[in-house]
Amino acid sequence: MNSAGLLLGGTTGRRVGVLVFLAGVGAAYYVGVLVGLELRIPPATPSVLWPPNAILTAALLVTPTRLWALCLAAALPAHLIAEFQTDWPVALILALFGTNSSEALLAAGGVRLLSDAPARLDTLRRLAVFLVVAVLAAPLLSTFADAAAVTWLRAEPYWSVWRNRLTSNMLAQLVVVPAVVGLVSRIPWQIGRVPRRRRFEAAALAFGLCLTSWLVLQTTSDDAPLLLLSFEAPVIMQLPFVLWAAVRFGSTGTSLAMLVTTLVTWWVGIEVHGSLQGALTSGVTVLALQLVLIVVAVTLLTLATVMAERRQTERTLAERLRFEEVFSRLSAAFVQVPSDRMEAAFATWLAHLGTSLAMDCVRLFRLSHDEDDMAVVGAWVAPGCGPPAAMSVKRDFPWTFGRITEQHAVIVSSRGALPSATVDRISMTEHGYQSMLVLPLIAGDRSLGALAVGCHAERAWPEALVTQLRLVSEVFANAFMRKRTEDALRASELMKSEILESLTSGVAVIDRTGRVGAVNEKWTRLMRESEGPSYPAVHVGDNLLESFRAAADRDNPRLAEAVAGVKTVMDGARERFVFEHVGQSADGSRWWVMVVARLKAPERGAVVTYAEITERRRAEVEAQQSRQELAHVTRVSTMGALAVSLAHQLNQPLAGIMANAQAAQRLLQVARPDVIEVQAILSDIVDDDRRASEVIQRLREMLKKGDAAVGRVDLGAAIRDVATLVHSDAVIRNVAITLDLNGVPLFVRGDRVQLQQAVLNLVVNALEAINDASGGDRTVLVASRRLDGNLAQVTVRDSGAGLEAGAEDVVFEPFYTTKQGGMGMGLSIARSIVEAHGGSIRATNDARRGATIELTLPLESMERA
Amino acid sequence: MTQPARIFVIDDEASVRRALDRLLRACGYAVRTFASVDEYAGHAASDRPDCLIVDLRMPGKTGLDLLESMHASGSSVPVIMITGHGDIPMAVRAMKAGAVEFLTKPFDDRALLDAIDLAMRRGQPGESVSPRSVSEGSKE
Repeated sequence: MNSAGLLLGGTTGRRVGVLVFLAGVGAAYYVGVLVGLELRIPPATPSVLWPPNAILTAALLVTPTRLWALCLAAALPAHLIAEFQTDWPVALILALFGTNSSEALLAAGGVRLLSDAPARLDTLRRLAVFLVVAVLAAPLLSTFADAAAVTWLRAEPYWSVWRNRLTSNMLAQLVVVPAVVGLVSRIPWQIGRVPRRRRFEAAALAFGLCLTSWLVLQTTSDDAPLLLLSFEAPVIMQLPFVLWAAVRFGSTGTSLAMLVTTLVTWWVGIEVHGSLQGALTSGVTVLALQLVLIVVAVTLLTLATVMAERRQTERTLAERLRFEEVFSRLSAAFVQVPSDRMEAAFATWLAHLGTSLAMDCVRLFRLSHDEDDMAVVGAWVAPGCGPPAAMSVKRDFPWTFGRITEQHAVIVSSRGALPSATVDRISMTEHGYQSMLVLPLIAGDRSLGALAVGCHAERAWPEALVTQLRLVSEVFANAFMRKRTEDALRASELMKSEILESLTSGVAVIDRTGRVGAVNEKWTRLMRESEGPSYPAVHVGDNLLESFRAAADRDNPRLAEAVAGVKTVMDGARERFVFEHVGQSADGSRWWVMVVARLKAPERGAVVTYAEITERRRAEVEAQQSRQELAHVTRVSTMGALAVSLAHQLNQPLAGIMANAQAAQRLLQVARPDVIEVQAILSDIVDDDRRASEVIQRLREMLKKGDAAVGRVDLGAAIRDVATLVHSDAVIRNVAITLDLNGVPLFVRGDRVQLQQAVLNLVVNALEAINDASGGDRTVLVASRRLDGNLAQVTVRDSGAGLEAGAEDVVFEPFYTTKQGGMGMGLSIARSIVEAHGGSIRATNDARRGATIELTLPLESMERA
Repeated sequence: MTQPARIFVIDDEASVRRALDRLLRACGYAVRTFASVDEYAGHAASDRPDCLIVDLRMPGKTGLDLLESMHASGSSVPVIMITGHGDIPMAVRAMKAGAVEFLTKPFDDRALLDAIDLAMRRGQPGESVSPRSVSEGSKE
């Protein structure tokens, strides 16, 4: 953090801070001028050490360029006030300010342009830039003008002035700039953190310098214990301390020590020899001494930088090792932490991280699901920084928030580098952070949150550190992901168990041996209700197969069937098995159903669903009864409608019988009756009687009321019976009934009377349809054939007017009729009969005319046939 | 009685055909039977019966169809309608189309013979061809 930045608080505070800083620049410049004036070799204008330019250079280096004009303006009055005390002409004083400030501007501007960290001299590259630009080039360039002004206005020899001014300014830049810049920009932020041992060392070094200075200065009095009457004494005496500073305290310490040595050197010169003029006469060239000081300073600054770099490398290495250790422990920790203890783990590890990386603050944020804001998951701040301040990332750091959601890292070495992200910069200021590093937590292809570290001071974020923190953020991202997955899993488990408990059926999961692993609460209750002497209850831990097998062996052989069925499911032979059983209880029979469905899971096993179906069975029985009653009623009414034609059918044999009988009577009246003829007549009468009795038999069957008698039914024979039954009706209606029966008998399983009735209803319906139609082709075709898939199909096609448009689906609805006086039950009954036999029925309009009704029934399976 | 009266019977029911054949022959008529109108139509046109007994309802052309076409062509052959299922509208139509009598199966032989008598008289006025000597008193 630079000193101007340090003072950037609120707007008012910032103004006050800038003013204080400028006043400090002015004061330092004034003191610098006085020191410089003191160290002159009169009557020559140049000093042997000219600090003001170096002070100004240092001020510019730690100040943003926008404040440079103010710095120069602050130095001007100090320059004027100080130099008016001399006898120099005003023109020279003003010209000197021009050359002084131009040197500072050249030095600071050049360093800022070429160095990656203008206020730091901790790498050889930065030092080289400083030496070449600030120490050599800037003094060199400005000295030409300076010497010209002095030569012109004070009539001194140009090259003498040039040489003196150059060396003194170079020396000042060397011993003043690193010291001032280092002290101003770094020390205030590090003083609290400097270890005690290092403070002692610094104090010891300072004491050594002071002691040697005092010793050297003692030589100026006559009773000095030591006689070191030479200009080189301070350099020689203090060289070990400067060396110490170079090895241990970097460029700042070296520069400070060299400043002390330089001042002491010149002081000794003045004190011992009365004046520098005297020193010159003593044969020691000031120039030589200046060069010695410059060479020593450059050498030691280089040494200090090399040492600093080396220390930095060692520190980096040590940090890296420390990090690797922390990181490996961190990774191991987050692999094991259960998701409900993750928050605590985050807190612990953020603290570890902050401490080991020497940060001021570490925070972990989680991005909300809608990516609307980030919530703090954990925060750690360095001791002494107070509790972590509350913040809304989206509100306070909108630019950073945007970058994170786009999965970019945000690396800020100095908040001044955030010129466009105004809100973020102000928030950094308010929270007191100069630098920060924010890394997105990326899992898959989305950002889950962010890991942020902040520092109160400006700092660089080396690639190595960023890489390390990226690794950490990956661990956190994985932890987030795992927590999210585990939370989701837990929620899903919870939902599953809630669903299971809410079911009205009992559910049990059994493994492939039949052992019950888990049940819902309903299962336990139903098991209790259905448990009987011959039907075992199965609970968690029991083996369903073994319980059933035991009961089967004991007294319930039906359970053996259930065991076999469950096994077929377990073996994968079938997907599901349904087992119904009836139990007796105080309030009558109760029906239960057990459905076993195979699990797709690799370990297999099955899910068993258990439910009571007493009500359903009762309803089924009732439906069956009412269907039979309805069928009977319809049969009777159909017969009533057919009665007229049946009478006709009966009349035919009766007519034959009567005519034959009367013919026989006549034949027998003659003397010698034709016996053969009479026998033929009797035979015909018997045949006709049989025909009549068959008609009556069929009528009786159709009118019979009773339970279904399931058996093997030949569809062809049933159709032929029906055709006989409606023959007379067809004749009366003048409709030709054509039969197209498959030569092979089609056997289905069912009730013959019911199936006949279904066909009869269809045929009667077809006949009636033609009755309504006008003239033309008057035919009804009844066909039967075998279909693929072990099915039999009966088709009844009429040449009537066809179905009403869109009526294909509703013709089978009860009470649907287009006939006057029709009940609309015929086709509905046919459908219920066919469906009760496991078949289906449908009606279509024929392409040309008339309607076709197809009924399909499953053929009786071969093994049963 | 040189030549018995010739009676044709058209009925789809075989047993009825055979029974009527026997009965009428026993009564002294010459009888010929046909199973359908078409079969009768295919018979030689020159072979004309003295009386035609036709079943009203048969598959294909019905007795009524035959009667109406005969009426239309001005045939003078008397026709007796028989049916297993008689209703009044049918009887009216048959009579209008010129049927001599309308009998409902099963019918008594006397009713048939009376109807044949009537038909003979109507078919050939002035000429008695009744072979009543045989039928007389058979059922009274």
